Amino acid sequence: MNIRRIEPFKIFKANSKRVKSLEINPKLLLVGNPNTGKTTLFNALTKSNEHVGNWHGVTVSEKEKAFVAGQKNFVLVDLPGLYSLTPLSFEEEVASEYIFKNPSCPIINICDINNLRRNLFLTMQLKKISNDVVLFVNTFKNPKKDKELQKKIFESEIALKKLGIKFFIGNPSNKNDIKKFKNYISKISFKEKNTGESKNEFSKNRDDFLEVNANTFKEISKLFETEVSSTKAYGTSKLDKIFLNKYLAIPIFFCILFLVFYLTFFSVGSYLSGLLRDLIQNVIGSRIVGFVKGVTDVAWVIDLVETGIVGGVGCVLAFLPQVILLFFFLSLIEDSGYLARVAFLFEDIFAKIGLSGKSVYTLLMGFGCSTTASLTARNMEDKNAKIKTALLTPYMSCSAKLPIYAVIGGAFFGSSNIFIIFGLYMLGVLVAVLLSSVLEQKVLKSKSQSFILEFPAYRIPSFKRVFNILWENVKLFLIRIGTIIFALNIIVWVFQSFSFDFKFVKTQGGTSMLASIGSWIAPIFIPLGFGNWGAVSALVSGLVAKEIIVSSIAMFNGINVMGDSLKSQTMRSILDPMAVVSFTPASALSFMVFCLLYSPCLATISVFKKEIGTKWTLISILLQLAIAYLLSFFIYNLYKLIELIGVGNGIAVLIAIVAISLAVIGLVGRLKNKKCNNCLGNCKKCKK
Amino acid sequence: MNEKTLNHCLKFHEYIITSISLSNKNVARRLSELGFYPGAYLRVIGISSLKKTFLIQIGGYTLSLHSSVGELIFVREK
Repeated sequence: MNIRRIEPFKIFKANSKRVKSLEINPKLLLVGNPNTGKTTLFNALTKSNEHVGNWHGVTVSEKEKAFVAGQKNFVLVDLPGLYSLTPLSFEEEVASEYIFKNPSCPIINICDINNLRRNLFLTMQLKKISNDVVLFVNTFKNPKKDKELQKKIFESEIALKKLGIKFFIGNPSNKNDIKKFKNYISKISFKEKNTGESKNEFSKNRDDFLEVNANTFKEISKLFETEVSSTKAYGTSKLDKIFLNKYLAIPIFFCILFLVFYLTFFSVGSYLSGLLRDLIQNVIGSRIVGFVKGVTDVAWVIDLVETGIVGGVGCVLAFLPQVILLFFFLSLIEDSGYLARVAFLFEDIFAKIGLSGKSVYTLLMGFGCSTTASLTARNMEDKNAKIKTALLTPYMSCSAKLPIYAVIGGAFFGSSNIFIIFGLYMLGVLVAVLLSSVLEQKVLKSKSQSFILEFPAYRIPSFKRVFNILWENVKLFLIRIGTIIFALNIIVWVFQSFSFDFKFVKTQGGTSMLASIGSWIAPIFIPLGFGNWGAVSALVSGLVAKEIIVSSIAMFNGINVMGDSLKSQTMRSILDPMAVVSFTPASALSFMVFCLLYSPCLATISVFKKEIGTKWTLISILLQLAIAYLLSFFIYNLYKLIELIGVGNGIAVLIAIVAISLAVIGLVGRLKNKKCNNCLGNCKKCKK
Repeated sequence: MNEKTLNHCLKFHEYIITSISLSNKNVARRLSELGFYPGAYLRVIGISSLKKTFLIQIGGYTLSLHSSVGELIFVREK
């Protein structure tokens, strides 16, 4: 488990004059139910930017940071959300273990004012183990104009005074409330003693939990003067009549998804990419190359800057606007509360293939980045569902593959490319569904779905929260370009520009290292239509980072940032049969399908190794390569057949192939289930 | 008594919980920690298309429960 620490003494360096006057105080544990605003409060108190989301499971390990309140210096620990001290999931176990291992640490227990009665269950448990529990009741918004919220605050104050606990009611997004809270904490004198209740009180082996927990809720009910209305509950809204409508819900979801894709990959995204591309080529790139030419006339140095650095990095950087838009829309869906509704919509369908509705978040995030998405699979309670969700995430075509579809697809399919791209995304989803079904049947059967999902209320996405999520992901994308891809572009350029005896092939002739390696592997890809060393070398470099594939193709085809736009030059170059990397419509489609389905980048593979183990990581890579090869082969040859016999006949052949496959599968299934003639179903084999 | 599981409940009807089955202890514990206990009131406000997931209002908040969880909750009509 990763523990990111920032030593409290670091603040002493920045504030050296205050060191002598600061009093060192114990760690404060930030504890609460999922989705109550713990990380928002953590960020506000410590002035950091940890990931916040309108979804449980966003925080998956503990984080520590120091902050100052009054004349006191505290270390605040943000723990993953938990409903009780008896953990059910991995993240709850992290939080629960941490609390029991630090019995003398005071606790800040954050509650949601809209769910106070349920949240107080955990508070009652915390009171049993610690004398130092401070309650922060999160109002989520300013109560000034909200009469209902003011009423809730009034009721909560009365209830909490009866409970006899220190409490503060406020909004962590409000700076004044945070100042007041810091002032409040600074005046509390923490006793640093626990009550003596042990972990056994909350053991999973206790049999009387129903009675004990029921009594706790009855005690909580007595604190409140009014009964809970059964018609008005937090988490429901009139909007749910539309978004959860029996007939309209899923079509609405797909419309929203298609709108996001259209805005990201075409219209707005395309326009902004064009602007950035012009900036890179006509302003920045040409000046850099001009400067280098003025300083030196060494051919390989000039080529390194022009082709390796500016050409390679610039080609990928031009897609930054589309990456930003994709993450922007994804974070809107997450922050608005619609994501929980999507999980409810797909729970039935996902359960059929051995996944849970919780998987929808991980899989949706996979459209942004497989690496970060695979991390969120950690909150699955069922180990097999967790492995399956992680294995399926790379099939959700990540944003890094987008440049490949835009350039290669755009060269051959023009305005129809939007349908090709949408089709590729749907193909990835279809392969994931089929693979999940097979895994569920054969090797990774899920335990019974104990699926309980809390419904957050709809809320207007906060600009600050959306911006923070966006900035985190864009920073990751930029850092990848700046570091890994930059370094790898140079390495690929070296392999492409120099021969094994280190001659610069462009001026001195010879075969480059990459060409030699690519040509050894290339024959394997001839049945897929792209058995040339350039395409294969680009795929190999794509194992490190998918963004490199397009820049590698550009580099192999001698594209630089000068002259025409980089994207259109690369697109033109792959149409030329004499280019190092060239395609036909059939092989272009086959190449895109292979890129969609083959192994993800090394960053994702390293997350896999950590989350699901080495065995399943290796199985995953082999499966991906096999599926990518088979499907690319099928699509390449189907396209060639359609070109030969026409669209109508081609579709007929496709239908025939599918029908025969289904018939074979059905027959195999019947033969397997057939009982022996002799035993009539009583032998060991039949009973299995 | 007309006791039945949550899976047989109707939309927009209100029920009282009569008992929670202990056949899946972990799930039963989690339900009790979320306010499901004999005598508590709940209301079904949504049923998914394949009737595998239920939207429930209980204790002033909303949850969605899978049918495998609903099987453990026994209710009678209020």
